[in-house]
Amino acid sequence: MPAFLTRLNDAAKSKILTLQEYFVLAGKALRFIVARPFYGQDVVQQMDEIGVKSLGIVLLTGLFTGMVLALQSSVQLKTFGASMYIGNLVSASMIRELGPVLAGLMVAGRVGSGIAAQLGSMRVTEQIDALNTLGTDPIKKLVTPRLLAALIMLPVLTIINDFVGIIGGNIIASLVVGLPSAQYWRTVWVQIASDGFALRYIPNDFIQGLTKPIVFGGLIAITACYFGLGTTGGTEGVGQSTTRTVVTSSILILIVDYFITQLLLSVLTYG
Amino acid sequence: MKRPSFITWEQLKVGLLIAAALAVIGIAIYRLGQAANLFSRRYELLAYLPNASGLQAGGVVYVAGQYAGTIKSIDFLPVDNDTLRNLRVRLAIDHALQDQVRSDSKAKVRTLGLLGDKVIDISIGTPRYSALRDGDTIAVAPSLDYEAVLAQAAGAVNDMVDLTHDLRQITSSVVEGKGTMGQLLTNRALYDQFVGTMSRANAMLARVENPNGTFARLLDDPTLYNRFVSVVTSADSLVIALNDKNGTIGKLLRDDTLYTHIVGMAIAGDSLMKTLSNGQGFAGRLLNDPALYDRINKLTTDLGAILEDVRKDPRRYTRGVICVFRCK
Amino acid sequence: MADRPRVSEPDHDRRSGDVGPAADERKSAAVRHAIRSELAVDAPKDDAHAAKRASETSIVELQHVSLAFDVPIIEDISLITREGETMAIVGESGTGKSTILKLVLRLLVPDRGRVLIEGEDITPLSFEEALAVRQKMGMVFQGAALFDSMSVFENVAYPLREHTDMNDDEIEQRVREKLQFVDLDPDRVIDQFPAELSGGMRKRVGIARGMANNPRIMLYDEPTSGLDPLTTGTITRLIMKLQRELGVTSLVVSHDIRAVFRMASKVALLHDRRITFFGTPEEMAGSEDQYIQDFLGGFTT
Ligand SMILES: Nc1ncnc2c1ncn2[C@@H]1O[C@H](COP(=O)(O)OP(=O)(O)OP(=O)(O)O)[C@@H](O)[C@H]1O
Ligand SMILES: [Mg+2]
Repeated sequence: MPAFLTRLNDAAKSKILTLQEYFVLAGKALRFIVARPFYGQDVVQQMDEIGVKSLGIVLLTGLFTGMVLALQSSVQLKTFGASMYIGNLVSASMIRELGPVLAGLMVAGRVGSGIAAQLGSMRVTEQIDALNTLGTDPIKKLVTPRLLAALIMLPVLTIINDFVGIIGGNIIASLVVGLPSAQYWRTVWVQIASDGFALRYIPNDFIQGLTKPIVFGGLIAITACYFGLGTTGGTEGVGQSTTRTVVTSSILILIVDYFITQLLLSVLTYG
Repeated sequence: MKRPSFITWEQLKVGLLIAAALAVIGIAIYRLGQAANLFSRRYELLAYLPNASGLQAGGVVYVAGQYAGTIKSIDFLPVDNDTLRNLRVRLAIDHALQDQVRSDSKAKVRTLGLLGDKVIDISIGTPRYSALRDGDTIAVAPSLDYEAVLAQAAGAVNDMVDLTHDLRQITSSVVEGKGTMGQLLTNRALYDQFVGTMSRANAMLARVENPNGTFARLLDDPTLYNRFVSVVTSADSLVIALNDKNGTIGKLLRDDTLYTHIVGMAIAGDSLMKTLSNGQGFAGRLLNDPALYDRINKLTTDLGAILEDVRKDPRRYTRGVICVFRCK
Repeated sequence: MADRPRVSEPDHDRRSGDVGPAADERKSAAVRHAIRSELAVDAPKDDAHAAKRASETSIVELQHVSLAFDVPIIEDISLITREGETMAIVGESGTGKSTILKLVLRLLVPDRGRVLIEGEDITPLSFEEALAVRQKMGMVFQGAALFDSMSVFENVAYPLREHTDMNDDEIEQRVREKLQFVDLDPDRVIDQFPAELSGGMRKRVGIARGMANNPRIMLYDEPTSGLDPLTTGTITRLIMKLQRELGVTSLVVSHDIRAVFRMASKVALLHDRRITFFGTPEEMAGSEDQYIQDFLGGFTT
């Protein structure tokens, strides 16, 4: 076989191996959510790390995203004489798309890198080996709590992001367009209601707006843990893992977002 | 793993954050419940449509333009000859509105909102009819086929454009005083004349309308018409007869012997005139003798009477005597 | 992935190894003398002790073990450690000493050959079964590998929390006991974090953690490297005390020939991917082999 074919073959194998390891890690981490022992303290600590400590950036991004959405749409809608629909636009875009995606990207940057750096340095200082030696599965001890915390906290952050964003829209709508708050909020609720309900009570928008952050949370946690645990090459390797984690999870969020949207739009029936 | 016996600040912060998110969701659900009657009891109505026109299950149902419920499902019916009932749409409607929706209510597919959402809008019924109950079928009002309306409107609009164009040309020339209409509008004299004509026409018409006048008779009496018809008929046969070269007049029109006779006669008349102007002979005396004139005058009068008579009943005189027309 | 962790030695570990050909040359004559005297005084006593205790059961055994990463690291290695013995593994830096310990812990799986712990072949075990086997062993890592997100107390208590039903009081008592055993003042260090400790203190906390569960087998990866002679002596005595008082079977990886000769009942020399010498410290000191003589720094000639 020519040399370049061999190299191609090796490259393909290593890519598939990466994918396989990624999914094995995800599968194990998910399985351990229900297996004993349950590292509750670690989960809470990670929830604090992922959720509480990300609150600041999420509040800021949410607020300004909502404000700029309202500002842009006010210009656009004014040409149709439809300024009273700002609430519809802001709430639909925040809840369905921008809330989950921006919260995801922020957490990928802040928390994903942190997880990768922490696990990476644990790897290079043999703390992972130490865990193994002390009879603990590092996946159960390190990955599962982070995964669980991300699965819970990302939706929480997204809800807050959405809410703050819609409030930001409210501020701009009343300051710039002079739309009364009551009117703005009415259109917000009407928009959510008119997007229909699944199983009668669950707004389709909420399903979309909460499925995404759950998936993104899983993506960020698993990607960060994968690169963190796979760190080689000392301190320099830790830096590389961190960068890879942020880049990969951000790209994955955007790609997966598209497919979730497409899936949910075909599964949910929008009014 | 043992449960820690104390609560750390970290745990509390996490709990607070989650509580805040749950509170937001709670408020949202409550407000949505208000906006969309989420927690009211619902009942089901059926509607049969030829075409869903983009309606979807989960879509919104309005009653008189107010949010009232959702579309539960849209199913295809088996193919049959009834092309107005291709789809069965199940509507879940707020129970509180049951009294409003009666058997004369009509469901209609409407386009709403900024993004052109399709909704079903149900009109409110009247007290003469009973309220629809769970599982009843609601009548469907044909919705305007938007595209057809657009196409028609396009033709109409084009016509209107042409029309206004023409109209503008006309009015502009009228205003400028061109043409009859223009004169009519701008020329005072014409107006006066017109008024005069009109008043005279008025007077004339008054006379025409006088039932004893000829015109009135003309208008009312069918006999004249009949007679006119017969005159036309006889005129017709007269023309044919005139064209017959065997008749006198036919000969008159075609035979030049008569012409030469007349020329000769004119020459003779010429010499006769000379004699007459001399006052000699009978004719000369006729011209110069007043007594003769009186007698001839009387004769002419009588002759007029006879002629009148002849006119009244030509046959008395002409039958068998004068054979001018087609004597056979 | 975590099944087969690929461990890369941090560079500083290799640099900080205090024994190498260069370091050996710097060793003073006094130290050489001390080594010789220790050989004369301690070794026979340990040997007698070990002979009295050692049964014929092998506790840790490697049979024809080979392992390669990108290049072959070790080839066809066989070793046996019997109950109560202290076996030292010596060799140049980067020859695969730490790798052997990781094979024993089943953190690595050999390409060929078998690893037996208390007679049980651990090579075919599943990951979960391996976790259980590892609980028989306590490991002191080269860089201590303390969990730096946890306090000293939590580090030492970790194996107890993980694998015992001890209540908080029992755990605290055990932690204090172990910290005292490694000559640390429990009240001073218990709430400190690894980053706040000196290298020697870290190593001792690592030993305390490794033996917190009272394992029957202790593995030490360079327990004395980078430490001053006094601390080195303390730790060496500690390992001996453990072996003597509790009958713990130990595997010690070390460059520190003096410490090795003090505490080991058997020495294995790893050279060029193979065990080139396996015997008592006396046999090693008396070996005619030029490499062994070079390795020992020539002080026995
Ligand atoms: N995870 C790994 N992937 C690739 N190579 C490795 C890995 N771990 C160790 N090696 C290589 O195996 C060899 C032996 O490593 P090991 O850590 O066992 O050496 P050592 O004898 O303990 O050295 P030292 O005395 O410096 O601690 C080294 O050359 C190292 O580069
Ligand atoms: Mg080593």
